[in-house]
Amino acid sequence: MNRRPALASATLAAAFAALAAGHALAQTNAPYTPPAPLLADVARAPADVALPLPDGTRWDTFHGQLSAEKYSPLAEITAANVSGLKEVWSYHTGDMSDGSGKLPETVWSATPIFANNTLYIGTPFYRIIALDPATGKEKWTFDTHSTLKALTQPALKSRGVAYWQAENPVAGETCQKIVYLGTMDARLFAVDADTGQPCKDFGIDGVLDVNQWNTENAKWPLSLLQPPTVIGGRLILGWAGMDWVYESESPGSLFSLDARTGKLQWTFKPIPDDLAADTGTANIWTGVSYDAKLGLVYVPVSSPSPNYWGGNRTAPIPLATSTTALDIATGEVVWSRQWVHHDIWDYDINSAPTLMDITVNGKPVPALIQGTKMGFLFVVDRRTGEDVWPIEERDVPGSDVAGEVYSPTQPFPTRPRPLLDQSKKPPLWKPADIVGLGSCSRKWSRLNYDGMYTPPTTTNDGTLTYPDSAGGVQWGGVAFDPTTQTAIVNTSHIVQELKLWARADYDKAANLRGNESGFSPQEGAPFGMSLFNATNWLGMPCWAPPFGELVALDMHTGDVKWRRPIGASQQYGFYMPESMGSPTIGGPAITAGGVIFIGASMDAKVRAYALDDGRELWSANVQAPAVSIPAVYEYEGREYVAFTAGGNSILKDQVGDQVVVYALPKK
Amino acid sequence: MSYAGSNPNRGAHTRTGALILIIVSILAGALTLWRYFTPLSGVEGTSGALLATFGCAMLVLAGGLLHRLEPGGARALFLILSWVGSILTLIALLFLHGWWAAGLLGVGVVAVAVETFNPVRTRRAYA
Repeated sequence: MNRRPALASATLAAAFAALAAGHALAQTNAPYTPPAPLLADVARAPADVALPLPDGTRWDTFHGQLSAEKYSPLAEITAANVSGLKEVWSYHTGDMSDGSGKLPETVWSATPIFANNTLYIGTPFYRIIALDPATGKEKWTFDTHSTLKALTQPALKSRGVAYWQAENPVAGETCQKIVYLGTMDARLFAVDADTGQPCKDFGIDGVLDVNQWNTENAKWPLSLLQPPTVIGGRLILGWAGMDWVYESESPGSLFSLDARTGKLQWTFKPIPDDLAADTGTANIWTGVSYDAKLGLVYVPVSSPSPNYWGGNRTAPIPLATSTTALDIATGEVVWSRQWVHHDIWDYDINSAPTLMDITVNGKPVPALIQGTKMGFLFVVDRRTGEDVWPIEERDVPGSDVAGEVYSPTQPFPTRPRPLLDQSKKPPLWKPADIVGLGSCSRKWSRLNYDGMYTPPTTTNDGTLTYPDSAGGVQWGGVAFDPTTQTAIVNTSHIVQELKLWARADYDKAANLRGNESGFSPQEGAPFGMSLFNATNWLGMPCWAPPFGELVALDMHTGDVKWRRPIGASQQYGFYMPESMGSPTIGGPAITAGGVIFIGASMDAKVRAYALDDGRELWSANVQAPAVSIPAVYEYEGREYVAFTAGGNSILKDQVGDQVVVYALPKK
Repeated sequence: MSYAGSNPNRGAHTRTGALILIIVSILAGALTLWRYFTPLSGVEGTSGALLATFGCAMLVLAGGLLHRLEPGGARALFLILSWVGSILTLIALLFLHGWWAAGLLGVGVVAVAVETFNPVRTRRAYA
C-alpha cells in the first residue's frame, strides 16, 4: 500500500498563504502562514479495512477497544431492564487524598481493565490491584513505591493500567501476560498478570526508566499518567508534563516499546528538531487508537509551549495540536491534520480519535472522528486524512501582543455542527448576575470575545475563553455504536477568563495556582498568565446553562439525533436542577442492549441513558465523580458494568477510591 | 412576654401546629444528619447538609417557643421566623435531594400555618 503524503496539496497551502498575506496587512504583528494538511493517497477499498465488531469478552484498553469505540456487543442489560441494575460489589483501594494532609490531592480516571478473567486497576498512589470480576475479591496487589509528589501535574493522577498477552501464552512461564502501570516520576512497571510479580525481562528488573529519553529542555520528569496502548507486541507510550509553567520545556515524544522487554523501537517527535530547543511539549498525554488492517496508529497531539503565548515559536509546527497517523512499524508520519494553527489557547487534542465505519450518501467510508477541546468534531477518512464532510479554513481575529504571530484562519468543520456555540459570547445567567449584584454583566462587558479564537491579551480584564482549557470534549472522547452508526459524546460548557500579564505586572499579581486555573508564570516568556472560571462571589457560573450535555449524532449525516443535559451540577451538597446539566469529565460506553453508561458528572452519580432517544433510565450514587470511562464485560455468563469513582478537582473537591460494579439480579 | 405555663386557659389551647413542627423538624433534621454521615448519600460531609440540619434544629427551637408563648409581639416574631426558617429549610432540602426530609418539612410548613391561623380562633372560642 502506498501511503505517500499528498504533497500535491501544496495548492491548498498556497491558497492559505495568500489568505494569510491579506490578513497580515491588517495586523502589526508578523504574518503567519498556516500549514497545509498532510494527506495520504487512497490505496485500500473500504471493504478491505472494515473494522471487526468489538469482542464482548474483553475490555482491555483505556477506550475499551483499540478503535476507541467504547462499544460492547453484550445485550443482557437492555434499555428495558436496566432500571433493575444493582450493585454487585464495591472495592475501596484506600489510595486517595483530598490534599488537606501531607499528600497532594488525587485525581483518578482509570478505566477498569477486564482481561485474563480479572479486573485490573491502577491507582493514583501507583499501585496495581487485581480483582475477581464477579466478587471484587482481591487476587493480588503490587506497589511501585513511587514517590507521591505532584512532580508535574498539580495532583497525583492516574488513568490506570494496560494489559498485554503473548499470542500463544506458554503455560507455566511467567510474564506471558503482563500488566503495566506508569508513575508520576517517569517509570513504567511491568508485572505478571497472574501473580503481580515484576517481569524481570522488562527494563531493569521489571522497571523502565522513561526519563532516560528526556534529554532536551528537561525541567521535570516525563510523567506516565496515561497507560500505554498495547498494539500487538508493542507499547505505544506518551507522557504528561507540567502545564503553563515554562516557555521552553521537554518537546513531545511518543515511544514504541517492545512489550516484553521495554526496548525502544521508534520515537515520534511532533516538533521539528531545529525548533525544539526554543519551545516544547506538543506531547501526547492521552490515549491513541489503532487500525490493524491499515497498520496505522492515530495520535492526538497537544499544543506547544508556552500554552498562551507563541512568540518563541513563530514558525509553523504542523504536527502540533493535530491528529497524526503513524505507520505502526516505523513511526513515520502517514498523514496529519492540524486542528488549531499556532495554538495559543491550550486546545490540546485530548482524546484518542474514534475509528468508525460509516455510510455517507450511500457510500461506505472508513472514518475517524476526533473530539476536541474546542467542541468541534472533525471527521476524516482514516486512510488518508481527507475530509468526510468539508472542513473549512475560516478567518479568525488577530491581536497585537508583543512578539506574537496569529494564524489568519483556523479549521472549522461543517458537519457535525459544533457542540457548543463558540461564535459569540455565551449568554449571561441572570440569577448569577442578580446574586452577584451585577458583577457578571460587568465582567462580560470587560472581557474580549470575538469567537473562540480570540487571542489572549494583556488589555482590560483579558479575554473570555469558551470552551475552557479543560475542554468542550474531554479525554473520554467519542463512543460509537456500529450497528446504528450513532456517535455519543459528552460535553462541558464552561467559561473562563484569561489574561496575559507583562512580566513585571505578573510578579505583583500572581497569588494563586490550581488545577486548570489560577496564575501561571510561563517562565522565560515575556508574559505570565491567569485563568479563572467566570463566576460570581458565591461561585455561581456567570454563563447560562446547560453546563454539560450528552449528544447523539447520526453519522450517516452528521446531524444531531438528540441532545440533553447530563447530570446535575452540585455545590456545597446542593444539586441544581438536572435541566441545567453538569460539566463532565470522563466518557461514555455503549452496549448492544441500546444503553449508554456514563458517570462524568459533578453530582457523583453514574447513569444509564437510552441510546435511541436519550431518556435517563437508571442512576446510582458513587463516592465521587466517576471521571473515567466505564468498562462493560461478561464473566461466567453475566454482564457487568464497572466504574471507578475517583473525582477530579476541575469538577469539584471530592475525591474517591471506589471501584463499583453493577449487574442485573441473578435469575 | 408571657408563657402558656402561667395561663389558666392553657389546657384549652392545644398548640397542635407547634407540636407537629417540633416532631417533623426533629425527624427531618435526623434524616439530614444521617445523610451527612452516610457514604453515597450524595451529600456526605457537605456544608449544605449541615446547614439544613441546623435549620431543622432552629425550627425545633422555634416550635418549642411557639408552644409556650402567648399571643403578643414575641410570638408574632417567632411565627415570622418560623415561616422564613421552614420555607428556606424546605428549599434547602429540596436542593439536597432529601425527598423524605423535604416531605416532612412540607408538613412543618403546614404546621406553621396552623399555628399562625388556628390558635387565635381557638382562644376566642374559650374566652
